[in-house]
Amino acid sequence: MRAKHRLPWLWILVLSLGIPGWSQTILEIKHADTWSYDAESGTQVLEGNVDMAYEGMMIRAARIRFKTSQETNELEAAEAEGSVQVIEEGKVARGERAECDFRRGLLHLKGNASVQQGNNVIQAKEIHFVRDSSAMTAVGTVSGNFAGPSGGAQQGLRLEKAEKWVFDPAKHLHDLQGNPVVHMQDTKISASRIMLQMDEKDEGILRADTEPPVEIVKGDLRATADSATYFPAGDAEERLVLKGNAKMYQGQNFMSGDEIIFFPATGSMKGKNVQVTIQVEENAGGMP
Amino acid sequence: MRHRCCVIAVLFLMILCGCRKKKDSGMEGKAVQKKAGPASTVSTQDQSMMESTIHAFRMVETEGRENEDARKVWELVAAEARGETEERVNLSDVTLRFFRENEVVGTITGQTGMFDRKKQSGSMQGDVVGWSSEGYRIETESIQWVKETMLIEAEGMVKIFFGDSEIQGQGLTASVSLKEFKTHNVKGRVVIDEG
Repeated sequence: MRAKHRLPWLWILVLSLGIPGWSQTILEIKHADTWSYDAESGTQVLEGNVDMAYEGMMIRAARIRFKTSQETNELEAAEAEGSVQVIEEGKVARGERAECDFRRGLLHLKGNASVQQGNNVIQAKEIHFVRDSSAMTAVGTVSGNFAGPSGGAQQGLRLEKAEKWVFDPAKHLHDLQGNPVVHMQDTKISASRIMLQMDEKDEGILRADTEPPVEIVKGDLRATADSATYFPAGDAEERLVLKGNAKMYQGQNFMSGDEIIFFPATGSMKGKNVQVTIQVEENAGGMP
Repeated sequence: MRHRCCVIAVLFLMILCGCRKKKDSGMEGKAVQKKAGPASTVSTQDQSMMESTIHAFRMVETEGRENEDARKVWELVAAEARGETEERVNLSDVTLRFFRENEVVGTITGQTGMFDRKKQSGSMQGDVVGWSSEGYRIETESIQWVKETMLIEAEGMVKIFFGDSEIQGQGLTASVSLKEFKTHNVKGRVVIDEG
């Protein structure tokens, strides 16, 4: 927990998949086995080894169906299926299906959806992107490995599970919902909700807030509280603030109080209305 | 139940022989060599057409009851038509229009063409261009259309345009109304107006 958790790749990843600005854009069809058009339904279908380029991205799928406006013939939406891949500069988004709403600027990856860049990966049943805001939402059995920009696992964060992950770039906030379990190095945080507040560059975690029930495990240290906030090392010392029915366990030792602040770097702690129970071993002191 | 109801108006016969009109065919034109006539019904006139060149050739197929609810199905127009055999007519500067509820839904033009009167099918060659009522434009070198299948087919390279978008493919299968079409081995560019 000493290291500053930097996650700029998330921002880069989301931006790059957040796709382009509004206006007229070109979708280049590099190959498809067939293209067909049906005026009654207003659909165009590319089928068989579809390979397209769109705003710097490569899009591959077994089949892509375009919905066109009956009035203007302009493309309104696209549905891709069959091992869908969206590839850009080493980043690969995958899904069994994908839906793109050109007018509203939405991209939905569905069915074993994932976004991967090197060792960094987000997996979920569905991943949704909003082009205008670059917001991202992953829904359903969300997990991920985030090694950080250097790829160093020591700076990484691993999301063991969550039901929903919402990234709001305007607020620089990663909101993990649905009993998320997060591993930061040797610290495991479980809560009903975890919110990672990033700095303005989205490069590092300023704080991690949780909602009850909260459990934090670091080595043989276990803490529970109504809420917990983790502050990585930065301007102030790295610390974990437990509030409301705070309890910490370490072996046979036990501490409880209204508020407990734990400093991992030194192992020291302080609190309010704290009660401490320390189990003293009879053989302590090295007596034979 | 669709049935054909064709109207024949052979202009030169109207001039030379008075108004002579056949109610179940659909060709009209102006012959400059010999008599032309409703080939599908009168064999002697088939022979005459085989040997003649008709200017401003026009053939129409309709469905429904004549003078009541008759609706155009298709219309074949050519600057010139020349009979090659009894069944086969060679055409130049050809336009083929398909109708739905008497509205044009598809138009195809070509430099030359052929129409088989027995099969009611034909082909077109040379700068063939098709337009659908939805604004799709198809360009290719030659096409065939077959009445039984109501399909238009091309074997060569096909370009399909809609708006600023362009699709290139090999071969084409399309409904005669140009409401549905399909091409193979595709590449192209699609312009997306994102509003």
